[in-house]
Amino acid sequence: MEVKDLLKIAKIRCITPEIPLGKPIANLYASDLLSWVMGHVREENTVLLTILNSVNIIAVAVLLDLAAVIFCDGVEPSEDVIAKAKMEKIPLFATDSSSAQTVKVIDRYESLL
Amino acid sequence: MTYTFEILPMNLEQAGYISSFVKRLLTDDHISKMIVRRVSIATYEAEINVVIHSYGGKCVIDYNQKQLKIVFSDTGPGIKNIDAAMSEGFSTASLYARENGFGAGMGLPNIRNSCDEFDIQSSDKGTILTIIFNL
Repeated sequence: MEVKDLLKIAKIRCITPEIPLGKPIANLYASDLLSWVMGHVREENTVLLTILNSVNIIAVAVLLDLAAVIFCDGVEPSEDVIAKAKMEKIPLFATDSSSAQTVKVIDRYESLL
Repeated sequence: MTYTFEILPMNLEQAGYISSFVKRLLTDDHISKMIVRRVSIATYEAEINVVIHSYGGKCVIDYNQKQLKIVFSDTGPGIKNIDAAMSEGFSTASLYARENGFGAGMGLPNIRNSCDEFDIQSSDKGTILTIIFNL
């Protein structure tokens, strides 16, 4: 599954359509604590699901070579976050669903591929 | 080569600058991805620690073909109980830091687990963290 496949999931919308979406998705990880993300994400091209609306999420995404960030539970990333994501070419998505529900939806979609 | 950076207190916007610099430096020199990852994690956590806990400080990076040595030093207030700070889940982070996703109590444990050599000295005059990576 690739990041661009997230576009086909109705509940998830892309916030940064101008950023290339060609990366593969190696894994999913959900957390709102940055050090927890830093310590536990083992694979590059992981997609992070979070409610943390902070520019530091983009710094972590760059350092860990994340494939994308999905903001869950209706959280809309701020202008600062979007600007930094564009600068660093980290694709951002948003959904009204919780991180747990979103993982289920992605997993179900992937099983159909 | 030696590189020196100033770190401003409570400037979360700037946090990540040094770790991004080091990541780029090592990536450009074709250092293995696994090492780059460990260096990125440790440097980011250390940078964040100075930003959210200290009155400000600096970072000095010594880099040669065999070794990467990074020293973070700040001007206080110091870590009261280093043993507690080294244990996973212990945090004294402020509400401001927590609202920005920090304060999991994983900073120093993540640093120690990522580097090859680790030393931390602290008093009320400041904290000096030295981390070394074999390249």
